[in-house]
Amino acid sequence: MKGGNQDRWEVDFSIELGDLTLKNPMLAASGTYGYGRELNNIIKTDEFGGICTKSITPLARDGNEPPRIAEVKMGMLNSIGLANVGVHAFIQDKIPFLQSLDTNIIVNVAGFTIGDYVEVIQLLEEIDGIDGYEINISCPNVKGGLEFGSSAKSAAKLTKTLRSETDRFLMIKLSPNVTDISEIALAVEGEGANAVSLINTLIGMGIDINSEKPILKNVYGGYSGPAIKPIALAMVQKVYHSVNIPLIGIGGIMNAEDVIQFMLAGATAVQLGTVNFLNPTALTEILDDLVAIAESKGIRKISDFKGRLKEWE
Amino acid sequence: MRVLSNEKIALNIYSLTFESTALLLESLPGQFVNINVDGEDSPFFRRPFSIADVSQDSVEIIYEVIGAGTWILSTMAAGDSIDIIGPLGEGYDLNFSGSKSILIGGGVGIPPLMFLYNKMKEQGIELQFLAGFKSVAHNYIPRRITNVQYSSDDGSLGTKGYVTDLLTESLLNNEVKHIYACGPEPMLRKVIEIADENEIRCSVSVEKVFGCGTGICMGCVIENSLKRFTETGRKYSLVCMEGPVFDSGDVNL
Repeated sequence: MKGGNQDRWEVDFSIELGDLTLKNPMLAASGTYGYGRELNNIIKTDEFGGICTKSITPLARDGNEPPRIAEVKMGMLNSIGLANVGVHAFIQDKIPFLQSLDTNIIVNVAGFTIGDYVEVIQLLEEIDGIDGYEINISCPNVKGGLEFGSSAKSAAKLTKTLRSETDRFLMIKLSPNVTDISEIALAVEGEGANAVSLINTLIGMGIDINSEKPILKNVYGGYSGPAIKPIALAMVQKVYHSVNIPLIGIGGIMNAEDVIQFMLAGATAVQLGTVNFLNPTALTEILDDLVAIAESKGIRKISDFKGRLKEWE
Repeated sequence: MRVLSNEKIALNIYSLTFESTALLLESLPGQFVNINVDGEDSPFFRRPFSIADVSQDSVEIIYEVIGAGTWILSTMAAGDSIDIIGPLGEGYDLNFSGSKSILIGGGVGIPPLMFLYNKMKEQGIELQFLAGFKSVAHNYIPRRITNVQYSSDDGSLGTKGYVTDLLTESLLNNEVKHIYACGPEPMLRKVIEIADENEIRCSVSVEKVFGCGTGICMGCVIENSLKRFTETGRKYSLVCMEGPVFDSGDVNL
């Protein structure tokens, strides 16, 4: 992939995601990579196979009151509350840089009513250089934002409406805070979603025994980081057996081994999230390490890992 | 990056120097580095440290051992590899314009002011340095920094009491144009109160929990003052990127 050493094992990292071709299966997860520019002096943003932007809403949002981030065992809690510049400033100030990148741009869209989502997508439909949308139906942080992702019926209704608004790649980001995630995945597949990304953060809480208060002002936050990887793997593996559309695995990925695990469980691609906070150059290290793992297994095409999970005899 | 030295310089307080990139050597007072002390388990987040000094080829930070992260840091030795990102954030306004200044710091809030002191001395700026510690055992300010007025909680160093009392006293006798402060929040609030009463410009370095330190997680917000809210339309500023140094009139501490 990166040239250099002639003896280096050659791996084809490209993957197909619906009509999109990604140069590698690693996307930056929404909310962990800003608008693509912030870390560009540390790592070249277009090394990613794709970027999922911060969630965009119709109007600018300040987000929740602090403290809205906290460290917990093997991960973190956040209740940022969809802070973003709003779709108009996004188009004016953020899109030009994103358009200049040699990677797939997936705009993450959030809202509190179906009309919010429609409004954002209608405005973005006029803009070139956007490769698709990821729909945040599962952000557990903002009161009232839970409904779309928490039932198959409401997730299907939203997907159906958005499908009628765009021919672009449409990916639904699933919440793990449900009884049966496969049921939701099936419902959005039935209404024309091109892919599902999973999982969003788990609802969590921390308590400070000195102040006897929750560690977040919002009380609850989204739990992310390596602690949630086993849960995410189980959900990806379940959903892989339920739907035919591609899955994008998310949840505590820190290294190349984690990426392979998600692909074995059935993910076509993955998103790097919380790791971008700890290690902004994680992607570069993961790409190098994936070559070594592929070589050890004699694999030349990264997509060959997908769904290869073996059963116990 | 490679650790060059890591020495105990006062009670529970260490100075760590590391070999630096060209970019890090351009660090400015008030900026910080973000250190990954344990990779991916616990402590989970990187730990931010203000830059205490930059020499020809190295950068110094000064830290107090207060938890697991700083304890791990204290075990590092010369030659060890250390995962550092920086310089990050916006530091102090270095457009001094010859004004009379006071630097006031408390405890481990003093390192960025030591760096600022060096820059001011280079430019011949007239300044007073006020430093508060718990006790003489906690003092780590090197001798090359002269004319420091000390206060301590127990009276073992300088005047017994708060460093902000030294500030009040100093303003009775001197005309000051700019106060630069860093330390615990109650101290900063008092400094701001005194600066406001005397109508003196005041720059404060603020500490918050940082998820990333690079402006992407948007967790480390501080509330904007009505003035800044009116100017920007935004309720919050990001401490890691728009700070950690703010004009006291811009934020509600």
